[in-house]
Amino acid sequence: MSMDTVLRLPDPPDLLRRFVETPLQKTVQFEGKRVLMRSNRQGCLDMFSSLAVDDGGAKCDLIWTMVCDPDLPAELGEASLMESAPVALLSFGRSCFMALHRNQKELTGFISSGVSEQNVLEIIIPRVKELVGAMELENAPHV
Amino acid sequence: MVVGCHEFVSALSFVRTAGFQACFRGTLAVEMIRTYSVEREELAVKSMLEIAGCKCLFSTNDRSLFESVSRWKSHKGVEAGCDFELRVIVDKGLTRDASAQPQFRGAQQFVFAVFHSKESFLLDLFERRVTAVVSRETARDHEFWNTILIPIALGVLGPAMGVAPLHCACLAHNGQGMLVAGISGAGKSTLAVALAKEGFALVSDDWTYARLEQGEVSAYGLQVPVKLMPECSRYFEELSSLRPRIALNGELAFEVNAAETFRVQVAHRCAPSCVVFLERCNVEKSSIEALPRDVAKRYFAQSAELLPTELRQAIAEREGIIDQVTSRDCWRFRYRGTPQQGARALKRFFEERYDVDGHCAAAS
Repeated sequence: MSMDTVLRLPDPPDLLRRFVETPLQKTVQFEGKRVLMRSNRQGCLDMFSSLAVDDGGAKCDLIWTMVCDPDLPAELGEASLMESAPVALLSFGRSCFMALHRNQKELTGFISSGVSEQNVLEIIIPRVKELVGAMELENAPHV
Repeated sequence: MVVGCHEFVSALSFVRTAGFQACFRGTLAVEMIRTYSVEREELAVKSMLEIAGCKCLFSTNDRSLFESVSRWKSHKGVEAGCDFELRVIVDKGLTRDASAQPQFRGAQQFVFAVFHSKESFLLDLFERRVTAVVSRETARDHEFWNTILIPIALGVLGPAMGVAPLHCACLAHNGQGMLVAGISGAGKSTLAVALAKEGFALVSDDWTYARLEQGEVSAYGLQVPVKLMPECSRYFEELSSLRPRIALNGELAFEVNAAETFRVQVAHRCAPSCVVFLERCNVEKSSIEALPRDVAKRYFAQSAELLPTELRQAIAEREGIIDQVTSRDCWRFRYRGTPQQGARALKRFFEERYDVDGHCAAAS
């Protein structure tokens, strides 16, 4: 066996799920902001946008990317908000968490595919609304 | 007020305890949210730490946590610039589940981590900052900070601040360093311990943190416990009275303090003179031969964590360090017999090949 073969490693696995594609997208009005929502699953996108108004506009005030992850636990934990300007971390235990970067105008996070629609609508979205609603509009993100 | 920790419920608000505020807003669902505001002035306990040559501005609201990380304390004041920040809020009302497995996810410049079921960590590669909320119990858990969190923070943020985490052991002998690389299971840690027992100073057994200092590569270890597979008790009698336990990655292993268990010398940094790639295989006799540099480079590049393209500067810096590291002599080492026999063969080679000033001896 050549030494080249012996020391060749497979490409590292994406342990952090950093490279999950989020090709599905939708632009909505959410708390007075035009939000470009992105996800890897249609169900997730529909659930998060169900309380928003469709908006086909090209420009947006915020990019919101949520990766739906089947490996996260389904049960929502206690909600917490950790502010560390310019970033805020909103989390619901191990099953849903997202970081809002106020300068970059990006909200990015993960949600377990096991979280029920009711919990999304009644527990998660109200918190996201508070977070997004309090965000000041200055520079729009690059899309 | 210690740090803003509030619980919101809805519609009416009341102060529950000093530092905890709860308010109700009139919905049927009783939703509670803990809110923490990490403004620097609220984290009154500040100190400068020095971790693998990097300056870390550490701030917290709890002195017991500061004691947990005091071994990294730098003589530099907090006014000095820092390479990264560690901001930790200790919430006395938070409880932890010590048996819960940690969880990690990453997106763009962020890495989200949850430890002990409820303790959230946000690692931000752009801001070069770790922000966390932990329980009092975790604040006092020296082992957690020194052997888990700080290595993870350096591993994640390192590329953003000119530190390349390299998957290799590192040893020093007469002032010269030797990196020992190899695929998982090749026996890096076992050989590293055997080399340490042969008189090398152990810098690290698994992950080494390399950075450029005045144009030269420095290799650092974090003095975390050495991880040895259960079968290593055959080779090291010091392990015979110990029991392996489940490590963070789920493997059953001995995790021991090398200095205490094996009475070997440890060092926190060295300047590497060469890289040795260890290959475990059945061979007639031990051999050491030159390894093409591109093979060595590819090994380190492929064993590094994948980073998104947004972090192109960090990726480029990491590649630059790997380039420098692999500009040293690269060797492939195969050995037969016990780790002790392998260590003796490698020691002989190292002593013959490199003089104490680190210059390569005449080619043999």
